[in-house]
Amino acid sequence: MPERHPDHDLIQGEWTERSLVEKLLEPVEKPPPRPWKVVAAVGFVLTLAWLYAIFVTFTKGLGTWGINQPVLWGFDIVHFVWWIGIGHAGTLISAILVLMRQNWRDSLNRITEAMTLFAVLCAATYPLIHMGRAQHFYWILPYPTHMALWPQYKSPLSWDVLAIFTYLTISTLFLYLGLIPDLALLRERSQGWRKKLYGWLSLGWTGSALHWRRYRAAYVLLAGLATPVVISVHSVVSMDFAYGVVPGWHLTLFPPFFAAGAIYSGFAMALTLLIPLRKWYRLEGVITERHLDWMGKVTLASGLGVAYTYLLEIFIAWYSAEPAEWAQQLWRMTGPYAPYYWAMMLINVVLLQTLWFPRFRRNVAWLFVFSILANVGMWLERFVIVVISLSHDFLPGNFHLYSPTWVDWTLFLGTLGFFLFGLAVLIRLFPPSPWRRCCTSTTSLGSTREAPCCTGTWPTLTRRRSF
Amino acid sequence: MRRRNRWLKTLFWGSVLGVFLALVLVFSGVAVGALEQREGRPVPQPVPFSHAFHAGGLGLSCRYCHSAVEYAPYAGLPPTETCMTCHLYVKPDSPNLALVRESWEKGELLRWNRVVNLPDFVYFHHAPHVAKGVGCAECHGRVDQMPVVYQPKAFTMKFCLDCHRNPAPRLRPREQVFNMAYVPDPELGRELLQLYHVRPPEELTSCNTCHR
Amino acid sequence: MGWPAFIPVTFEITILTITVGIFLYLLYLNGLPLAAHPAVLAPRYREALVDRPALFVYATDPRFDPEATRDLLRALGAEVEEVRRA
Repeated sequence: MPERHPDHDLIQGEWTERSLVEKLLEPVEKPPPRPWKVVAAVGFVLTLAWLYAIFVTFTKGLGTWGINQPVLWGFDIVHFVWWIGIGHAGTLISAILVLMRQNWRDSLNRITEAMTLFAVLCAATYPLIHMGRAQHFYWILPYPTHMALWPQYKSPLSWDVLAIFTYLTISTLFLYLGLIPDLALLRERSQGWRKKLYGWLSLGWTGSALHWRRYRAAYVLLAGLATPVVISVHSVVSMDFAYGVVPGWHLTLFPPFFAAGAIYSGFAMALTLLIPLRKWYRLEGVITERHLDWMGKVTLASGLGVAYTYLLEIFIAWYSAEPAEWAQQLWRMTGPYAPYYWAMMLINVVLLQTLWFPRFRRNVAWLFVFSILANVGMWLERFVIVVISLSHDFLPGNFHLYSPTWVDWTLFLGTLGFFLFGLAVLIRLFPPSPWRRCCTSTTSLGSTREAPCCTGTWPTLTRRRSF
Repeated sequence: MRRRNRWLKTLFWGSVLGVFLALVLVFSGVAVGALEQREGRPVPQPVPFSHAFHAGGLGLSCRYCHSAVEYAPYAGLPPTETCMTCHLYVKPDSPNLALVRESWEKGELLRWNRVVNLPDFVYFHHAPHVAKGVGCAECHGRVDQMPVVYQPKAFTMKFCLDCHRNPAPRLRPREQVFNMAYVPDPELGRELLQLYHVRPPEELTSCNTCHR
Repeated sequence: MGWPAFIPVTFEITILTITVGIFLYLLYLNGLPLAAHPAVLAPRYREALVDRPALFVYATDPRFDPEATRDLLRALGAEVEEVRRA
């Protein structure tokens, strides 16, 4: 007798565990839909363009970029912050929602974790090529050398290196740990090179109940450890700015501001990806409109934090009575970059308010449009912070506008392409939504009681044996 | 089956251990300088000139040939004339000196091979080092015992900084600078630090002390 | 007194090592990685991975008794299969 899926209250339609597995493995086992091919092809071409732009940067130098005094942090840092922010949704969904026992994350966590991985990879390339001499990047690591010099540990720029490296490692481990049971099933279901690949990657996972118990404990521990990292990474990124004296940067407000912005942009990007994905792969039953509604609520909450900070920034600039700060604020609002500033305000402050209303929030089309707008809005925010602040510092003789070159643009579009291409390949190899649900998130913290769906269902290996 | 599992586990945990050991090796610092190979290779010269004989045996002062060392960044190599002041009279017919005589007659310079060559991004000036009591032997080693001169130490940034961070134990009285056999006395060094107005380590290790 | 500035790096490295450590310890406790396991050869293992209960009794158990085990499990209404190591 087929039983209802234990997660039936979170998914839509009549599913048994087995029929859901068949559905969720479709993206891997069936030929890809046409949009997949388009996305992968576009992503691949852009990735090649990206590699060419990196090649140009390496062979000709940073002079090919638009950066110049005083705007020495241009598109590279704008996009670094933008990508790192996008990455945050994945870890938030994997870690914080696990701790809060928000079971609905189960439908979303795989794809957002994959998103995190590629977003952080894209982000990490920018500081590397920004160094100019990328082959010496390891000089920023604190290893003893014949130079007898250490990186300046009191500088946020060196915190950044370790924060991002830690973040990348943890997100990868999260993604991988979540994948292991999927990989074991795929190993049993596939042939040829795929069987080999899944066999190696699944590490010989057998699905033993005892293994599952430890697995769930480890998963929750990782979630607990990753939670402060999510918050710390973008706080550290914000300190890259807040530790500087540039007007518009030197605010104690920055760490929470950046963390909120990161979650906001991450959820926006997740929505941008999930809405087409559920349509192309007919996953509406798994990633339901309720899921999108929940995501819309998180987007709204974090977006309000961002909007609040925008308004507070204006107040602080005025209240501080610091001429340079106030001049910076006026420069943003009335200077040559004013359209960027006001477009950012329109999206992240005004249009955001639509998400209060269920009519808008539950309208998938609007949610999709808004998620793209929010991505643009967050890009504008980083542009405002990085470029506009630098173009107008203390000395009027120093003021200078910034204009990106084709290399800057190609580097940006290239990372977008790499991101899409990477995700497309990942979806083709690993199921975009984990088939093994509820076992990761319903673990009872500090209690021996197990989630009902997790007892008795598993092949039991009574003893640990070495085979 | 068992054998394959054992093999896989050895491979896996072996590589985990390997990565861990590699990290320890790099970050503990035990391997610093392991790849430095600039020490100890005698540099062949066109003329078989022996520092051991001239400086060690005869007791010529360093300054007799490297005359600019007290005043200039570069200590200087002697012109042919310096050699010939003696060798017009001493061993004037020695076959070892054929090249020197040829240079003397034709008026062409002798081309010595350089032993120490600092990178262009390093600013080094001999004069202040000599004036503050840093002996030649501190960097160049016992040249008076080298038949063919070689660079005794790898001149890495660490080598320079070790002294710039704590100069006292390596200082000697000015009159002992050219004494190859002198052994510095840390007690005296601390006094000389005051006496010679050696700048504090914060200034000596500032980036632009050496990179200008 | 610059010690607060050293906290972020200390924190990140702590988390990094603990996370990697937990992951490796999980593998160690579970006796992974494995190149092969006899359970995989069970005829309906694939279903057991998803939603079928399955019980493996190992011959290496000192109190292993194939006949009695088979009878007991049959009596409880289970299908009993013998899986041999390949």
